Amino acid sequence: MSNIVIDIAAEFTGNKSFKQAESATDKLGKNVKKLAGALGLAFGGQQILAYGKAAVKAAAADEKAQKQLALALKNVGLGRDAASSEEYIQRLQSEFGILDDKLRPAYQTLAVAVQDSDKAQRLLNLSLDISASTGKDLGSVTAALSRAYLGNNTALSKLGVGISKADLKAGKFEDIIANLETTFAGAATQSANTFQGSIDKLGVAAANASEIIGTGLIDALKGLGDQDSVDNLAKSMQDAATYTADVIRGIGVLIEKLKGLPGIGALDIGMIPILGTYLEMLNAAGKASKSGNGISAQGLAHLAELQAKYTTAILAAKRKLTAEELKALKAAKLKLALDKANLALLKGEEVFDMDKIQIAAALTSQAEALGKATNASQALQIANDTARLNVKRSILALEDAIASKDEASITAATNKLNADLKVLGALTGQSIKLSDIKSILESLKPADLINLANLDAAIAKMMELIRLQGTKPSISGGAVGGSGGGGGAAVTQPRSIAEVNAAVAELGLNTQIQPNLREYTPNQGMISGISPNGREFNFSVTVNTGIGDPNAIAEAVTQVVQDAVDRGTLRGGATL
Amino acid sequence: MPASVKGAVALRKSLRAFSPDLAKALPKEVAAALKPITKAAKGYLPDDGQVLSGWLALEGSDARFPSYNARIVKQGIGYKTTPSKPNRRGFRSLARVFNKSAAGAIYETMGRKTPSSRFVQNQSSKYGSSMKGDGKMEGRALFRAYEENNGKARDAVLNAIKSAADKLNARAKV
Repeated sequence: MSNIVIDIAAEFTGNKSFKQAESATDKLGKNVKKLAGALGLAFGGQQILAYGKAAVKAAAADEKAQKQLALALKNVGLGRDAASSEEYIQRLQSEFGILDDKLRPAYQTLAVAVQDSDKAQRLLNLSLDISASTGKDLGSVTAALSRAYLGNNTALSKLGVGISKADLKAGKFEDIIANLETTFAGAATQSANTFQGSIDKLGVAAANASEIIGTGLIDALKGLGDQDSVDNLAKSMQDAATYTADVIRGIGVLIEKLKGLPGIGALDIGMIPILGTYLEMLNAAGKASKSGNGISAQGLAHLAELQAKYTTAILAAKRKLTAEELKALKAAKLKLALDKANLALLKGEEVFDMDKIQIAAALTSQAEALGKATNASQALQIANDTARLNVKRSILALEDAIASKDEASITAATNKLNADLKVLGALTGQSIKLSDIKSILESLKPADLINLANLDAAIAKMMELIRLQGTKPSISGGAVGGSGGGGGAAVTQPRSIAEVNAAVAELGLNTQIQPNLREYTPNQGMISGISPNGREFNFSVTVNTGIGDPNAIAEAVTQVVQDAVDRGTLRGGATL
Repeated sequence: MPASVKGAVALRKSLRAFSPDLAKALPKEVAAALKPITKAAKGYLPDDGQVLSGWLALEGSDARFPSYNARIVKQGIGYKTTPSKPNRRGFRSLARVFNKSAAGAIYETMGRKTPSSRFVQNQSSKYGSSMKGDGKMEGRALFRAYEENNGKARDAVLNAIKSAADKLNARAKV
């Protein structure tokens, strides 16, 4: 196949084989990491820092266990053997690959039970053999042996160590122990020499190394004083760990190179030029700063102190924050309540102006009291109270005027207030005149709409009108001339002839009233009227309406007549 | 040698995802740049009557040597603007011109190694086309057209890619 192709532009993206190589590298990296994890190695500074923290914790726990054991031994009278017991435990630990964390409680249990160091160590050795042979945990075996020593063989029989209940009951403890020692002799040693035993020993060594490193870290904490020094130390540890890891890698490379040189057998750091000197100096400084044997109590105490300070500071910060939050919440609630109250007050003011209502009610009350007043002193008191109420009302009016910012209203309200104050001042000075009191009291009285004077004035006006018209009043007897006559017809004003004619014309009737008070129809002459001497005339009127409903016509005529009666132009009605 | 570009494949994906109009415009621009080469290359191909008569296909012949057919050979010259699969060295071609027919490839390259062969001399005497280019880039049709293009197509393709990238970036800015 031909391959005549010209690539104008191309991009390098890598091909399948490159990806395979990349994937293989990734897998290799992951596997190496897993391997490192399995070996307890750490590649990152973070892991080293975590390891440091765990080491500090392990060292502190180990220190605590040591003290507990020493205290227990002291309490049972074995205080002098505390150091030798610790040494014995450390030896067992390295010999059988069992952590001292398990050995110490076991030894403590046995020592407390037998109260003899030699016996306790003998029983612990036996316990290790039994545990290694039977697979039971060391704690159970030591507990069973300690109980058996005290006479309780039940737990020992349950261990399945090949001793019958009868033998356990009958035999002495020493015999039983001797029997067990024979049966399980060398089991622990044999177990320790196996591969698993070797792994256990490595684990013990790693745990011890961790505790030793933790002890060093606790010593380092002694030099810290400030609260934030722990943070700084943590960061420094991380930086140092990263740096140390790199240095370790570098040392590995260096060792590898040195091994390649002829004549170099075992590596001695001091042999390295310059660097070796510095490393030895650092080592010497570290040894010098080591705080005696084991973990320094001062270092632990300082660590506890720092932890307590941290806890206190964090709690204080939380409390402060909580208090501030509560305060803010309380203020917010108060503000909300005030807002609601103001809103309600505004609504209430819109509906009711309580001051004005109270003043009005007080004035009404004063008016009622005035009606009941029987002497001048009561009237004076009422006048005084009324003046005060007026002043109060004027003050409110002035406030409203000021609020409205209307200059004219303000001026008027001010004048009114001044006037009221003047009256009040006069009343307060007891220089009041009767006329002033009367003027004040009269302002409380409602004006009469109808009284005798009003009626007299009205009658006089009517008479004047009649006189001006030159007609006699058509007043039926008793209708006027006295109040409360009752039963009389309504008084109507006599109208002029021209007004009557206009009203008749509006009704559509073809009739006229002549100036001599005679009423005519153009075709039929005078039909009704009042003679000049006051005599009345009655006439029959025929209304020609053409074809139509007689009832409707009759009702229309009756209505016209009634209207005339109502207007006062016809008296006595009419009959059809 | 092709011009090496970085991110062109990702650019095409981004264009398809975020700017379809540019994604459609880019191949068109690239094609516009490549067309003159293929057009010129087709023009350099001889007709059926301009090649040796024995190179033409004979009915009933079982000859295995690729026979020349001007129509097929011209159809075999073309261009592509879509990225290819990576080659053995991991490069993906972004734009290319090709002469894929066997007879076209023979006409393109005959005489590179043995210019004095009888077949080459006879064909050259019948249709005197000249070879242009150097080494593996030497030929009579496509390579000649590419050589005579003087890199204009390459520059146009690169400009088209750069322009599309700039436009996409401009649109992507808030």
